[in-house]
Amino acid sequence: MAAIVATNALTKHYGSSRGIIDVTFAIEEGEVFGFLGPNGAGKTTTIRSLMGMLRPTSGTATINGLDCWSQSTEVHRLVGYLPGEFSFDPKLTGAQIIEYLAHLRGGVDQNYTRQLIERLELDPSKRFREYSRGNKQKVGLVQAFMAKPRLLILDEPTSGLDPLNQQEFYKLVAETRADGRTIFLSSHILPEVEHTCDRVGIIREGRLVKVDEVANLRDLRQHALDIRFPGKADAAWFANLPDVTSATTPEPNVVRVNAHGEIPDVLKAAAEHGAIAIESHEPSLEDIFLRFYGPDGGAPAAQQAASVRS
Amino acid sequence: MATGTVSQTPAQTWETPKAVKAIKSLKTSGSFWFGSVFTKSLRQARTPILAWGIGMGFLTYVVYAALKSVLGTPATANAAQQLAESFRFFGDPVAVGTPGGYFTWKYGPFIPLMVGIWAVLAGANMTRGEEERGSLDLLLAEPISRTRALVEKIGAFAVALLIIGFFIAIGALLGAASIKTPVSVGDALLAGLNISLVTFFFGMLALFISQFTRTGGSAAGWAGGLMALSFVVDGIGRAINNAEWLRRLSPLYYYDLSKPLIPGYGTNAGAMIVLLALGVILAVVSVPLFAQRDLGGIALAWLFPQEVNKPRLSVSQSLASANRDFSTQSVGLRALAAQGASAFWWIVGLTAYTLLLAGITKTMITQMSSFFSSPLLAKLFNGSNLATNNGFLNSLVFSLLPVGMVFFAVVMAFGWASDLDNKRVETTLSAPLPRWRMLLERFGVVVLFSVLAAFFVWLGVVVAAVMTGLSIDVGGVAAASFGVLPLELIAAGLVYALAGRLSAYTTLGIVGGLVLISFFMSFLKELLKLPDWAENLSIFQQYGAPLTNGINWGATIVMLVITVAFVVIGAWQFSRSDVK
Repeated sequence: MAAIVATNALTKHYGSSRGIIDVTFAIEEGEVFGFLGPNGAGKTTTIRSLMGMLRPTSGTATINGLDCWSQSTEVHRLVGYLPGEFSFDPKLTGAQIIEYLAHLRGGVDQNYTRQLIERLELDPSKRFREYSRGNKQKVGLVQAFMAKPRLLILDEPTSGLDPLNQQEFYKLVAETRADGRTIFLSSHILPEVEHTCDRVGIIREGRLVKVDEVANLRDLRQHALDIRFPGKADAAWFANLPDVTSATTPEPNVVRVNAHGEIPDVLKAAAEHGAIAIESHEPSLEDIFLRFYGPDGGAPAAQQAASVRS
Repeated sequence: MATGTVSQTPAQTWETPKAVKAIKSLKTSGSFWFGSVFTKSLRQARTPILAWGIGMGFLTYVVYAALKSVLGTPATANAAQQLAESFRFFGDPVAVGTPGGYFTWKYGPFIPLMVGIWAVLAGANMTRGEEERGSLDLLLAEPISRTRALVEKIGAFAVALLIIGFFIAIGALLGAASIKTPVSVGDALLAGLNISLVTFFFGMLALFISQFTRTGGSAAGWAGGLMALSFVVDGIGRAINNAEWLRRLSPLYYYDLSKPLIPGYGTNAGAMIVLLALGVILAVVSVPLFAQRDLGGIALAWLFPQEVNKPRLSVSQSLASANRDFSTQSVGLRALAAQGASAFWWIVGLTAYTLLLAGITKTMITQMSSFFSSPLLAKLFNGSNLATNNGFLNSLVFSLLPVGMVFFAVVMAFGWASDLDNKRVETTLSAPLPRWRMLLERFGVVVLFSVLAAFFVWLGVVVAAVMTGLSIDVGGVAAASFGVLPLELIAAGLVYALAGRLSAYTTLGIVGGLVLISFFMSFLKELLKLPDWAENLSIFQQYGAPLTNGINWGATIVMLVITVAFVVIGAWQFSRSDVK
């Protein structure tokens, strides 16, 4: 398979402030590639450079061999795009926006568009200003998918969608992959990327720090467990177990354990001391980044686990 | 790697020197200007306060300073008085032979209308602006009542107008001093205050109307229309016998009752109080209307029946009708639909102004033919021979109208700049269309609107002439109407050249300022006595008097070439720069 998206030392500065630095990666035709990073890491800058909205300071980006900046019109023929901030003339209805963009693009199958609208449960007769954030996002998704483009570039596609619509979106992604088409999506939610993507690139502070298959990123998987005991608990029961990165007692009878990988020893120790409940939190991406790519070179950094984002 | 202790979140990731500096500057400079809604609103208005205040103050100074040459002899002073008697439509002819009287007659109604443009925009967007941006939700989530927030905003608005009035007073004082005409500090300040009061009324009118519209733009449109209407009503009441009562309906009448700059005429305190009271009443009514409505909704919504029973269209029906909709077919047609309503009302306004003034031309000429042959009058009225129909139309219709038409084109072109700023073009730009083509389609729509405006102005003069039996040179009127086209296009072209690089409002400020300066360079040329080369920089000077002298083809071609250059620069830089 040939690379449909390729960047080479792609760099973008905004005046004196950092944009992205030396970003190099390639996406094969037919794969789903996730672009993962915290807010302000450079995901949107990379995506907008691919779309020819930003002119690279140095380096190159190509889509299907076409230069993303100088041949952007030809590139756009191949790409369906959802911007990170989807905004439109507030007086237009969803249907008008979709039809307008369909006319500019040409060759859009209205039946497929109708199916997309129905699957995402969008009411296209409302004006854009009347839509909630999630519904605006649905308009954005419909216009990105409707032309069945060879490549979809989606900036945080599930942001604002409710869980049911998120599931429908995941199905769309799966169908697109089954069609042999390519998806490049950005996210700051690790489980979402794990769920939908074949490969992942991780960007932090403007630099691409890791590109790997999702399966290899399991090591990043964090467990943050609150283990509750009937009486007073001791963090030392867990602190020295393998794979445990930290253990504390936020309340006298609760031990908060951070661990990664598989955790049979933790479960065994919990049972030995008569644990009565275990609560698991999804750690935030930020925590993982700070842990693995933190400024002090990988020391356990953030202890507090954030709740799941959905 | 395993530890049993609580580890610290690394604070150094964000505590960069830049962040520390930013926080420090927040603590120092921000503490005053961001300390309350009042100071924050005042800070937000600082650019218009300075632009309008210094602009109008400077205009006042320049006019005063140059009056000595116009009213130098008793004969010219007498001629000016006679002229003003016949042009009652524009202003009350009181002591026009004196500097204070001449200034009051010619600029008395003009300055409040100019300041009124800002007042109406600011009033209409006082709550709607932030509501449309969504930032009002955030402000009102703070423990501050809506009443308090709006009262503080109104207070800041009033202070802003007082400062603008103060600048105008300073301009009058300096100007009068330069020609050694006595104007007391008190009278100058009262003249400034009078302008502050009447513009406060228009601002509060816009605020009041905005409580019943969903956007600041439509409230500004209605209030601006009412302001123009009040000017016309006041003028008609003054010009027509036995219609004096009509004037009392216009707030400008109460403004006109005070003429502090005319020695011996003085200030009518009662009229000033009426103006203040009218403004305050509108403010006091607007506050509870705002406090008790939905944010984003309209006041007294129960009075306006909702479209609740509108049958819901199926997905296929919505899509099919949107697919047939002409406005979804291309970028140009989309822009045509988006700006059509606004363009329609602009053209209606320009045509109505043309009809009105061309309509009264015949009456005025026959009434006052006796002294129109005076060359002094020609000097006072922009060099046209007023005894002929064409000369008269030139002075009356085609002196101010071109500025209106040019501003119309600038406002239409501004749509592009503001779309770029609002990040509304990103998705459209992802379509497989070159950027230059998008820009050209949008500019094409501005060209179309400009041509329509010129056509309807021409039609307005022709229809008015036919109806009143005025004999005109149809070709000459066409030259005068379509001769404005290059002026409209050059200004719109400049908007396109600057948009994308500069913010939309900076672009509007620069282009609007240049148009105004250019207009005054030509309109006041008898007073300013600029060197020829400087006068020729004015597009209005290049427009000349096509009705009597024909179109200046050389200048027209040069202006069209510059327009093309502006659009090419706009397209070139838009194609080559980052999308905001």
